[in-house]
Amino acid sequence: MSSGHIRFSTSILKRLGEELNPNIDQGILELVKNSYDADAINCIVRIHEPSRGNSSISVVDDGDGMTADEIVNGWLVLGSSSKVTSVVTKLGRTPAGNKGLGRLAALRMGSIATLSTNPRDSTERHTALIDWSKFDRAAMVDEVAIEVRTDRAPKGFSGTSVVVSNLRKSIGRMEVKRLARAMILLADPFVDQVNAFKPVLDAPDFKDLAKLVAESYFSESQFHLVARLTDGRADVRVLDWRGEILYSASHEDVTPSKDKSLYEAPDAIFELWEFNLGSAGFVTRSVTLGELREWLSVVGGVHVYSNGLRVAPYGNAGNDWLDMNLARVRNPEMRPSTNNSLGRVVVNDTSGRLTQKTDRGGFIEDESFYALRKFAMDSLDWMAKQRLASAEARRQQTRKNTEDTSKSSKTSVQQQIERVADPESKSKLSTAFAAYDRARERETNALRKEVQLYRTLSTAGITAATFAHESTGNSLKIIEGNVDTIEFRGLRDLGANFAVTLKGPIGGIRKATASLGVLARATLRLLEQDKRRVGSVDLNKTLNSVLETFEPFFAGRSVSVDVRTDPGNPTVWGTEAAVESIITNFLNNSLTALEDNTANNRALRIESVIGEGVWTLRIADNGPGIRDISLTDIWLPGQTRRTEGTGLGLTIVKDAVTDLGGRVSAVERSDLGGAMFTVTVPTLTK
Amino acid sequence: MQIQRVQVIDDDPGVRETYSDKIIDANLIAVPEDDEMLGTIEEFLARRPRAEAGLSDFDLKPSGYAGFNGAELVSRWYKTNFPGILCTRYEKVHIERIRPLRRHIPVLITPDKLNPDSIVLGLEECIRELSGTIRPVRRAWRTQVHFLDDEVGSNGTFTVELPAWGLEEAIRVRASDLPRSIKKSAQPGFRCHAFANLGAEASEDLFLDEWVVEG
Repeated sequence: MSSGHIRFSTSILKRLGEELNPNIDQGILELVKNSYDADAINCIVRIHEPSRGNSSISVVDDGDGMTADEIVNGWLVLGSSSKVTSVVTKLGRTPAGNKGLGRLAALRMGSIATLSTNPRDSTERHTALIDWSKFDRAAMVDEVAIEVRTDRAPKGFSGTSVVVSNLRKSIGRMEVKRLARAMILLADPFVDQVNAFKPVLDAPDFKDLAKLVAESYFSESQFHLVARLTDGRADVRVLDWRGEILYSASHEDVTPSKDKSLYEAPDAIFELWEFNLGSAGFVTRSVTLGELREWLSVVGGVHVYSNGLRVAPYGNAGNDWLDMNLARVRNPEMRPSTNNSLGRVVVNDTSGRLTQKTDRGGFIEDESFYALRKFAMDSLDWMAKQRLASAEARRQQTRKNTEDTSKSSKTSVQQQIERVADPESKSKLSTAFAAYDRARERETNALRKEVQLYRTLSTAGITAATFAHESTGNSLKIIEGNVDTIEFRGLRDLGANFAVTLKGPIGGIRKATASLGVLARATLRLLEQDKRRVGSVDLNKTLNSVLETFEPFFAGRSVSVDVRTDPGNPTVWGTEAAVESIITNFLNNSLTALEDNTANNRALRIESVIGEGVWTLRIADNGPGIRDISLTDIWLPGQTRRTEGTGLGLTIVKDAVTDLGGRVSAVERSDLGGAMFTVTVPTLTK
Repeated sequence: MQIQRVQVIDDDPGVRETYSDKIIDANLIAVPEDDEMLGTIEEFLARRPRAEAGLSDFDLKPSGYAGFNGAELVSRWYKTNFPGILCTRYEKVHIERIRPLRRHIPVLITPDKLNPDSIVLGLEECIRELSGTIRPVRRAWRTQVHFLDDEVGSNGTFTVELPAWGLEEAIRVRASDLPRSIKKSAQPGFRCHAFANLGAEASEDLFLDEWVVEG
């Protein structure tokens, strides 16, 4: 019998090192985290890239150092972390607990890596040198021995130095900048801690950045959200710039789900500062808008600190792990974005419920992570709702204030006129002001009526949509079902007599019920949510769909419809609802106009013409044409010649066409005899 | 399986009578459920069946007639080997609610197509499927599902496409019908697997079931 071991070819070092952790800054950061775990206060990273000769990176700290045994059985071992997150260090730090893969990537950045370490309270110094070229020449990893040498060192000094020399590639300016930012943000720089970890990068960029970050502009924030998660229960407050509580809520108010279940995540505190970056608010402040923007561009985003250390990539540029920007698109006035806010989620996770990915690309997205994310997102949603409610209350108050101000201004003007000494001037002023006041009153009344009309129409629409099924649905179903049964039994029992006695009346009922059903269907189809989403709209498809809906109306009103559609699928950027509004209002108008045509030749012509980058829709009928109203006035709201009309149809058409970037025009009488409307909209290029 | 009696479920007595007439014309016995309240689905299913098959409308809730809809009822009947036909219009909002249950609804007939012949053929189809003979248009295949957009606000649906079925038409699935792990991961570009009847001719007839995310 023979036996063997799983062994690793030396190429595994490349796979696990530079390929798994390709970012240089991330690798160096792992060495810095080692210093944190060793209870270092200071840690200096130096990048030495002379124009000629050896380039190197060194990471030097004043931490606990390592014994020879710790080097051999810890530092040189990959994939097994000796650090236990539940046991804190002497300085009370929870070890970052990495598996050494990031360290491997950093050590392999050059051809030689040298470790030199002095354990605390020891006079010994241990050094180890890794020459990667030896691994390149060997077949298996375990063929290369790494010698740990021990010599004497001065007592009272402890710490570790790692130097990677003969760098394989130069470190770019962007990488240095990224590393500087990551190092500054690594241990929460906004919290004053005793024995705080202060990693420093010896580079000009770092000094400038550190200075910028040190500027604390928190007091300039408009809103400060503080959400605590304790044993799965949320407790949320929103404070103003003075620290006064604006809104507060308990777990039950914050959780949107019905069951109000607990967040299955470790205890955490989520804080977010939202800043008003509108220029108007900056006149009286001590900080300029530019300074604030620059500060936010470096520190902005929502960072995550787990057991004292930052977890990338949350809060990095372009990382919007709480979907803040998406939510802001939907509600721009009430939502923070990653550009105008700074936040942090501080997690106390001594039991290790959140696990970091091996490539250090954040946490593994398991139930605990999702629960933490949901807690933060629910808190943001709750804050937006409170702000929306406050804005609505303000709107109501502003309306009331405006009325009061208007009355008071009017009284004031009248008083000033009374004070005019010259009777003639006084009389002229009084007359002029009275005329102005009447005109303003008329304008206000017209606007009120228009608003009321919109409200009435909206209510009519909502009611029609709510009861669309019930008003006609079942009744129609019963009529149609019974007609089918009468037909079935008639054919069965009456045979040939059926055609003579019942076929005609049944046909009449069918036609009438088809027409009845259209109303409910058309109402519901107009309200389909998809139709209000902005996107590419197929114009011919939408036109045909509306014509199909109206088909029973055309038949019921004996209107012959001539549809001339250019073959193709022209599209426009907008909403289907907008295109439907245009076509539906034209058809409504034509059908109404055709009621005046009693010559039994009612006709409607619809042309869909595809041009170079434009789509043209022409709708003409043989009704009486546009009469008793000017072609300019037909587009104005409330202008109608019909007693039952709203006068809003063509206003809506004009608004919708304008929204689509097009033009609309009308002629009083076309070759068909009645009015003709022409719409032109720009189409998308395929 | 021999069917003689067909239970008729609708919250409107007039519609029940109309459906019953069609069943009678199909030479079957109609058993309209004339109770004012059918209760919850569990309560209703616990009753002793008075027929060998059923015909149900979709909307049963507005008048307080039942605490469930017709799709839930017919799919539960299917699981107890009881043949059932769902009668409803293909309206978008209904389709999204029916889709997760459609795998267990073998026959769906629109009211205008409901007649003695379609009832008999429909019941025969149900019996065939319950005995294991599944038509190609109804056969379930494991297939990849591509998510095209994020959850859409108050509508609460995701747009997805099934490349194996066809890319011409995207379909909507309700967030509430998805397993938690998928709902949380769903974003443009997210892919997972589900079982779908790839032979379905229209998107209205597609079902999506047994969602799987590879670990």
